Amino acid sequence: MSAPLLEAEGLTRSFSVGGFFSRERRPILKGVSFSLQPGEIVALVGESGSGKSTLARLLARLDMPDAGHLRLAGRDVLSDDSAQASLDYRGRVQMVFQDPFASLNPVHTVAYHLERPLVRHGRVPKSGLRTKVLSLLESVGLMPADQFAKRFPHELSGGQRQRVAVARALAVEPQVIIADEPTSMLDVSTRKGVLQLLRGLTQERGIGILFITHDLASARHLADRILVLYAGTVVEAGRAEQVLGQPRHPYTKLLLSAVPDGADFLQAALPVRPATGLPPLVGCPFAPRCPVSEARCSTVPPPNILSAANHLVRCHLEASKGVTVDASVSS
Amino acid sequence: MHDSLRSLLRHRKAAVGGGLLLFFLLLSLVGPWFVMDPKDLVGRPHQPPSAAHWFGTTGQGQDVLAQTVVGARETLAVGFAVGALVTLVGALVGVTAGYLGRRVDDVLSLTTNVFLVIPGMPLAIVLGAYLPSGPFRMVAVLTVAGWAWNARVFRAESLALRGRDFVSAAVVTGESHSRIVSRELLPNMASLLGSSFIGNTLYAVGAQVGLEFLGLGDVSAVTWGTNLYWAGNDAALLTRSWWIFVPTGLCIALVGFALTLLSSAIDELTNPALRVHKPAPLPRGTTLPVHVDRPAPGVLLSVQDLCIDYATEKGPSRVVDTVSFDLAPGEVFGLAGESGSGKSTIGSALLGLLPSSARVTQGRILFNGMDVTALEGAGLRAFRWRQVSMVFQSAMSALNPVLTLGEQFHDTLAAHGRVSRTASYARARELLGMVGLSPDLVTAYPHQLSGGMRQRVGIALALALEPRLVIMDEPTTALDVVVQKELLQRMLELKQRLGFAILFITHDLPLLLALSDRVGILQGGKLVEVNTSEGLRTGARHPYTQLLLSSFPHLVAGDVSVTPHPSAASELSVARPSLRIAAIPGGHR
Repeated sequence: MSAPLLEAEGLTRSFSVGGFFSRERRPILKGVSFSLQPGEIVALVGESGSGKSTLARLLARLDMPDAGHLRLAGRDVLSDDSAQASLDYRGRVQMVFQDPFASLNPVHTVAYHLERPLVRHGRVPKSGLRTKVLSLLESVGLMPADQFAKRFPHELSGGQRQRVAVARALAVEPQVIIADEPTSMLDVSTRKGVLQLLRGLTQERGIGILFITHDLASARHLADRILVLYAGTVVEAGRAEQVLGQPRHPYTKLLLSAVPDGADFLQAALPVRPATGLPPLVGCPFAPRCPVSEARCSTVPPPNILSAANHLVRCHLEASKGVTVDASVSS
Repeated sequence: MHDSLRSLLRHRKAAVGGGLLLFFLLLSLVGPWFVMDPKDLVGRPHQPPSAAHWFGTTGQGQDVLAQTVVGARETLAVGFAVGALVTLVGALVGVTAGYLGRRVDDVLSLTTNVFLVIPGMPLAIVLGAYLPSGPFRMVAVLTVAGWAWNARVFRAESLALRGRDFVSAAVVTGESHSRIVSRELLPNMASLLGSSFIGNTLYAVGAQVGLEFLGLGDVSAVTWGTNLYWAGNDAALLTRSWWIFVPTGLCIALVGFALTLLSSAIDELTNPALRVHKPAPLPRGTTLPVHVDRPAPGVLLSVQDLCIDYATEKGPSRVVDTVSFDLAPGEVFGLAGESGSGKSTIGSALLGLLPSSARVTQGRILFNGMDVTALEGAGLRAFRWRQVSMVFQSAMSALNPVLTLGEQFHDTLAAHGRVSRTASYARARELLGMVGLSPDLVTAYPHQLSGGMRQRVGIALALALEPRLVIMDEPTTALDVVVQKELLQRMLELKQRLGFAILFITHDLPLLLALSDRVGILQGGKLVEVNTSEGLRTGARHPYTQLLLSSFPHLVAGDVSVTPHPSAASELSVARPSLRIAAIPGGHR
């Protein structure tokens, strides 16, 4: 396999907590590694506070990690922080934000939002600007395009706004799109359209998409591979049907049992112990809630176990069933 | 932009304030050519108004009219210059500090705070004593003394805007810092810039007149402040020569009045909450006396032909359209719908919590045979919470952040009958235990709890008076799935034990089907289908219900590909009236 499109290795980020004089820092991401191939959709699932959005901000270079590497097509991007390198990165990695009601500037028209990336990255000559804007709008299904181009964000519905946001991300013809819960603020009947749009992009243009979500069901439909994030660590990773079909990690099993699906979903008990405060910093972060945890779980951090082909589980209980791999090897 | 200018002109306060200000601007521009030289000793001192000197003469024999008109020029010029400079410096410092944050913010905020704690007037007096004389001294002095407060205001505003996603989106697009400040942030602060400029001009005129009256300005210049200074020096009050200071004083007051009107007009136009709405009047439904029917057996709540209209500027807009359904004691009834379907409006109407712009125009809501829509005052207060209570979507904003949980339980219990604090706390401990929380949390504040724990408190509060019906408006939407399931299981368990009925409102149809006995599907204010959960799951009739059901991806195999539904989707976009009622306040999903 050639070098992956986007590759993260051991990304770590912590934030200081407490007052001005406090030196205490709380880790949000603890050595997250993954890779993204061209034309592939990788879903990142986890609950609120798991570090999903922090990871998205690191990958969009809105924030810097404390440690770790980020490679785009094999080249390290974190070492070079010049303005040109940053612009170059933004020309290849784009982001779609969660809330389309906040991600478009209320004082600018749709056309302005699409022209800026084109101009900034010199993608089209000045004369071709308008044509390009219209064709972008058509490519995300906003027609008649010349009507939509002159509207302001408040004149659009949520689904239409999110399509504008996708069109803006597409304007620079990126290789990677980071989609941070792109459908969670939308009505269900418009969600599907946005998801189809994203799926189409990978097929037609070979764009790699990191799809961040808390919704396992849409992850299953859209994604080729799934990463399950808990308290800043990837606890399970693998092909979508493997992770969701034969989940190995107790946390993945817990998540799956909580998805409202089927008539009897409320009858089955949750495989979990009551949560007690913040996840511990020593051992396995899931240990206090894990129904099958053992003594070693609260003292020794679990290793990464490669149980089947490309199915990675970070759990002590899997140690006998697979090969222990070095934590730095990405999934 | 043009729209806002037009509405500014149509606004009465703006028109009066603007007109007055325009008059003084014209006066200061062309007036001096039509009057005498204000410094010439043209007549005898202390002469009252006469044909030769319309406003009389000063204590030294100068023409008061000429002094007043000529004085306007420098006063207003300095006022506007200071207003503009203070706004500009304040906005630049504040926005830079707020946007860049970290070290830059630390340094700029410290500087701002140092300037803020130095009292402005003494600083201006000290500076005025050392700088070379002239109008520029006044501008410099007043700008240095006045910019800091503005910087604080603009810093706060840009801190709020910086967190918005469109700024992050601009960064990802590759925009430079200066462009983000000038094209993304500042245009969103246009109204703040406008009202700050006017407010600062007001400050500048007042401070300038004050300093000059104390003799700290250039006393040889002719301004409104020096006019008053000389009036004082020449004993205008002692000689009862009112005409020397009244014209100048009146001018200052009028300019201040005009600026205040303008600033308040901008506030009203940009802050919709201050705007007085005059929507088209709604026809009131026929007011019936509180009417008690014999309740039909097995019916707790009966909603009959309910219509609710919102008053908008374009006339009434129907949000709930002839909705009828019944709810049996102990039943879980689900209302499903997308944004704008009217589901939350129905929930509010059941408790008489409709906003003032909405009104029940037709139909009845019978609770145990009693018409809820006709309840008012004490009757409504007694009905709320004791009979029907509510769990809200946002648990954080439903709980009071400055009261302990025990106090909030006491408030609720005390509002419905005399109860001692000890008894309330005992009941609170019992209720907290019931929803699976530690009873010791009575002394905790809401911010110490996680989202799921707060929503449990919301349920405990709703059950405090043992109501017969609990309305739940998207109570789990903001929660993670695991927390959601824990909460719902606990809720159903409590329902088994206490026997209350639940009206569950959500957009999440799969959840509703698993939870409810019966489910109603709302589309554009109309109830399009009502059936048992089992019936809907196996045989949904209405195309909209089918579309909703197919829109939710499932975990189990069967519909793995995201297949398009062209026919259903196009029908939806035609049938959904959500754009028509987009202006109505309410949560959006």
